[in-house]
Amino acid sequence: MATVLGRPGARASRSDRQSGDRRPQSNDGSSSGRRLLFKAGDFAFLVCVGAATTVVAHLVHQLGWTFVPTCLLGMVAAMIVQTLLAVLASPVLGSIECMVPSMFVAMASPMVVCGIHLSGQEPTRSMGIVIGTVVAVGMFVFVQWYGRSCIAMLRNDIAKASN
Amino acid sequence: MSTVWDFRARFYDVCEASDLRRGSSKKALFRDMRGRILFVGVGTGMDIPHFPAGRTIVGIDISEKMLRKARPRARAYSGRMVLLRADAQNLKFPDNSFDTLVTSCTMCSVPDPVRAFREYHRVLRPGGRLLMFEHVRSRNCLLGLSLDMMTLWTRLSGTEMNRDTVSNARTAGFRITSIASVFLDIILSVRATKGATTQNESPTLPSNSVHPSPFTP
Repeated sequence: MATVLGRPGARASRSDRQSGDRRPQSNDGSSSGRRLLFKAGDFAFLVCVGAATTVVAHLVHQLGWTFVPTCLLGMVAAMIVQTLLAVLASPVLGSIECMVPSMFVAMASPMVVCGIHLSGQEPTRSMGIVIGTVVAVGMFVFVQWYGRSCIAMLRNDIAKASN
Repeated sequence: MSTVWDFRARFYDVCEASDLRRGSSKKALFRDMRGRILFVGVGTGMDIPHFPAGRTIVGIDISEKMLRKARPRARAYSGRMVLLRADAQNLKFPDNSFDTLVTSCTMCSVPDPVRAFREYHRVLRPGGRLLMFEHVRSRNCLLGLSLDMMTLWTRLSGTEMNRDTVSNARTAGFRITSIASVFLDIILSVRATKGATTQNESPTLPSNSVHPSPFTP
């Protein structure tokens, strides 16, 4: 019987229970406290990346160059900052676990800063930090939601393959 | 290819220090290692502490420098562990040599993954198990795009972040029996089996074989 093991604590599907599959539904032997700590770490890391990359983009806009080179330089600088932060955090939070969601944050938050500049307004540094934090919180919520939907998605895959 | 990994062996342990988070998932997967075991892509042996005790394991890697770093960890293992330099795409083992084949973050780095999976299929006995702890491309467009972008530079060091490893295993003839999400749909813990085949499988060594089965007396 094919099984999909997923989020720690996920309940066995009806078919799994009927088949007598007693394999624990979590493949992760870690405790709920430990998982909570990792979630808190992920959240703090994304907020750091969001704030830092937005501030970097903001500082690049202070150079007073024309719009397109400023945006390009801001994006490149933001990606460098994000990569450095991810490398620093990876021994604790995991390399892919850090790198993938934060890469999107590091792309999206500087884009918002550039968009504000394009609209003719001048965001302050604190506004930049708020923008970065909001994007990071959005990404964190998305990752949590997607993590849950992955279990059903993988279960469907196995079911299709079994048929 | 081996030159790249010889170079990466110097700082591999620092870059791949994700054990704190993934260690328990690996341990849970490796608990299913049974019988004659082949571990493909043993690297510097960072996964060895997660192996269940008392098993007989053959570990292979393409990089001699990686194996050099893995040897002290293999010696500290409580079972029997043999390390050999070998290419995953061209395994020098006879057909049906192993009961379990294990990979851990290996299939992102093999140049031709389907060819490697066909080799795994060949060396596993019918009904043998394939255990994979692998990262793959996310099906979500945002996350998938991030992985595609990462691949632009990780490819330079021999790693593809956006492969569909589960499909590659299926293409080579494996039947996927379970998939566990370790991190979203990106890091997966996959169990597969080699279905019993009706073809006549030759138990003889391939002509280019240099590694006789380590389990034969």
